[in-house]
Amino acid sequence: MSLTDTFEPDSFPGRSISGAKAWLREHTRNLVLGYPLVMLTVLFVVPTLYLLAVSFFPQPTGEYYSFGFTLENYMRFFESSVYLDYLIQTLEFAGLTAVIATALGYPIAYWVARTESALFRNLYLLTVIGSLWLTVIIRAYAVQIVFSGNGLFNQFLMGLGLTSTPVTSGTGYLTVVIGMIYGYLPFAVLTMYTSVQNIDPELEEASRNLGATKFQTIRHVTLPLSRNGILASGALVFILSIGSYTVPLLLGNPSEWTLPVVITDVIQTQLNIPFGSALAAIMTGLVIVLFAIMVKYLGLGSEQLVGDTYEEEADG
Amino acid sequence: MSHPAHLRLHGLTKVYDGSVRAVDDVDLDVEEGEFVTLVGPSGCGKSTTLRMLAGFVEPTDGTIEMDFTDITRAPPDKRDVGMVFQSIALFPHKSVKENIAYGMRVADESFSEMEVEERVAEMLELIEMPGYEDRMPEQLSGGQAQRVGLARALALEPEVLLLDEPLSALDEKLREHMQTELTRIQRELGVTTIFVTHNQEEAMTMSDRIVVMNDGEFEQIGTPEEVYSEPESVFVGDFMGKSNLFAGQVTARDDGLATVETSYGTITATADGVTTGTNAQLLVRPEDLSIAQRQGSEPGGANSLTGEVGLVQLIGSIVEYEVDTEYGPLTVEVQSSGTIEFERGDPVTVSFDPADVRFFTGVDDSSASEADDRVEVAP
Repeated sequence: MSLTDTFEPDSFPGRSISGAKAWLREHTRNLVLGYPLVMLTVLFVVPTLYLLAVSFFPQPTGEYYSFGFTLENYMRFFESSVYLDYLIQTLEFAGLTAVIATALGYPIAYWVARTESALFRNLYLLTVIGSLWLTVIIRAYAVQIVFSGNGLFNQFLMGLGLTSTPVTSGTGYLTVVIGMIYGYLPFAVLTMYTSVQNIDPELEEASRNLGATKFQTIRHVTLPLSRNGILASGALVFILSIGSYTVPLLLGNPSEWTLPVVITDVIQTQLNIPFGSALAAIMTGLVIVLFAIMVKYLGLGSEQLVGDTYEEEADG
Repeated sequence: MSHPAHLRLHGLTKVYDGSVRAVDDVDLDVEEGEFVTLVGPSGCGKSTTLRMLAGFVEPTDGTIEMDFTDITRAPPDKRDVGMVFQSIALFPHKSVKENIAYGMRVADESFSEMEVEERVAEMLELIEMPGYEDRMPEQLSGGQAQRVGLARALALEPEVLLLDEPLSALDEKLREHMQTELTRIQRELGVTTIFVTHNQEEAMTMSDRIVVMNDGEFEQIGTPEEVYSEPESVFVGDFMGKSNLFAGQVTARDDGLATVETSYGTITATADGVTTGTNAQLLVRPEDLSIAQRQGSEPGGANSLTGEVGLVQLIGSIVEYEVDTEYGPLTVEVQSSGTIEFERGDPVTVSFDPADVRFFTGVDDSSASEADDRVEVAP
């Protein structure tokens, strides 16, 4: 065959090196765009659809699941209040964590962003990020030790005479919330840090110049301008908290478990994969709905969630 | 003026990192209603001085007094100064009305909604933008935003108005218009104003007095005419206008005249009390040079140089000639009614009167053009 044959658009690729090159050149665009599409499908769409499919499978006794169609798994969720209560409790944990972590994180984010020295600013950021380098298991146990009945926290409170009996214990509702806040605080700080840093310091100076105190400046200028960052932090921590598994497992009694812990229990202990899948599908669906609400009513788009940039004056 | 020294800086100093003297022991008395401009190249400390007046930078040493009250260490919100920022810094989440009303909203004294509205309308009238209350900053043009920034700074009727290069972001035409506007508003309100700029033309056209800053120090304080016509240093002379500079050494002196051997040949200048051997720098303004057609190849005498016309530029009613002499280029400006007398390549003689030569002792070490390249130290 002659070389020119390989330059035919539909010729089989790879029969000669130059032919392969020509084929690559011609399809570069498709290949580049195709890669993420394939990965997205293989890694996200297929597993999710499979999960959804399994959730409709029946579970004959003694088997994991068999192919078929049944609504039994979903009905079981709505029949008793047990699983619904777990779901509500999960949302409760997530909501509390999101609000408290954002409230605690904002002053930190503000302080770090307004540190003048680049060296110290980076050092503070490193400290915040550094806590994420420890596995969540170790951090959960650290919380357990500090907040246990005769741990540092309670001894401190009792030493001050603020209380005569321990307020927290090694496991329990409060400990789970504290553990989750501790775990997700860095995400809250980092999200809002970017947001505060994008605010022109001259705006704060202008406010001070016009007679506003530091506090008034934060209230009337800094906070409103970091609104997107605060909402993004809340949304991010909320979504992360809903999926929290290790902290409620280690710091919570079975009554303080979250839905992900329950799902794992259903699958591992009860060996009921279809029901576990149904629970997971319900949870995922709920997160999607909540997320849609946030996007719609809080004006929160992907831009705000990834990095917060407030639109500055159009031209200056 | 009723209150002499309305604003007084005394020995004001700012040292960064223990050694960078951004502002070095400066003194200034500003009268009530005066328009004073701090002008100098980037990094000369003019912005730092202004930020010390506003309370954003804490002075290392010295005092700032306003109406005989020491405000050196007062927090920014406890000073009666209004400031217009370089970035304008309008609050992007507030309307024009709320931007202007901001100072009234956060004040201890409570203003009624009617008072606020009245004042906002008054301010918008002043900046000739009535009816713009509900616009958001992003809907304003650069010049409009600038004016709203000014209105916001003036809404609380501050004792002193600080302007930090507020016109630098505007284009040429708009800048000229805003210069006029700013001067009009300042005169109308009679508010004491400190204006910071690196643009000497802006300083010349707008100010009652000019402070020329260099390397953290006040080189000269005077009216625009004074700093232009009677510069006290080569730096001021060079910075405040176009100039021809000659460096050399005094070789002879006679009856108020000094003969200086420079790289451009021998130049005679009026100078009192100088000794021979002194290092000298001579400055001649382009408009003090006269240019004439050269006849044959006569040699240039003292204060007379021969060369060829290079670049010719018509700037308004002034023709600027770049003359290439054997020693280097000279700039000559001739007032003309739009006619260009000489053309590129014409042989000419450039001469000047010893009385028009400004004599400075010292070695050429810091010209304005060099200082221009320095990096701003202020944060």
